[in-house]
Amino acid sequence: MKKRRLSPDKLILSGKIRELDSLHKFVHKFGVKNTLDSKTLFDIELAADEAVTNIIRHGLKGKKGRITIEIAKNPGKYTVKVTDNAPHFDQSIPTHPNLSSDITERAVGGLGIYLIHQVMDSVSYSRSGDKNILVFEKKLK
Amino acid sequence: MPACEITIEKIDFEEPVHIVRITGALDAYSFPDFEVKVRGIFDKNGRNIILDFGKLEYISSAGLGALMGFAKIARQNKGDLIILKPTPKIGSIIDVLGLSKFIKVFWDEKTALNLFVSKAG
Repeated sequence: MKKRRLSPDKLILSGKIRELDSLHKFVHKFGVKNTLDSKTLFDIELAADEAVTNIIRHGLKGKKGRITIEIAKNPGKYTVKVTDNAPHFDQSIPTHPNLSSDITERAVGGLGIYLIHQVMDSVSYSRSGDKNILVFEKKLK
Repeated sequence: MPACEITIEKIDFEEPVHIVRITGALDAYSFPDFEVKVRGIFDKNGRNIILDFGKLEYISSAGLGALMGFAKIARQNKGDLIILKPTPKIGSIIDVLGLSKFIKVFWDEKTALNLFVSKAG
């Protein structure tokens, strides 16, 4: 029998940093519905938060926009798709913060993208028309 | 997840110790309040701070960046910044960024406070 693919859960934000609370609630609701273990839930929440925060701060830069977050449980993995209408912004390129340097020499920039790559199993980016599309996946345990 | 709430308790040792208790989530929306409150301690010459993460459920790079800034200030002021009781998930993120090399982590408040008693002695 062919498995039916469920449509993803979807949240639309307008690009305000205070909307992060809605994002946390949305991810938690998905976690409860799909009985995610707490570590997987934390990792998906962190990656989605970092991606959306970066879009608001560095993509939209305070302007109103449209950010769509979709989460789906697919065979063998969870998939998160973040689509936004900010200018070109590729978060699939890993950052390499210098983690061996002393705390007094550490720069804070780039930590968000670094964390996305640390907690997810794959990260990909594409540009379609005026939209950035970031997709990251977490394998089911 | 509850919104971020921050309370500060001052322990009057010879050199005062401030315990900052944080509940809920530290993200890009909530971290400015956390930053203002902790910087307020440094501004009043407080240099020994315990950040109680026992009821902190979530932290993002915004909160971790603030943490790095506080660790720098504490070191410049020859004080100490301690994290108390991080959950395993938050502990693992702190480890991923290599912050446990610079910030002491304790799982018991009494033991953390004893560090400051022994420093004063």
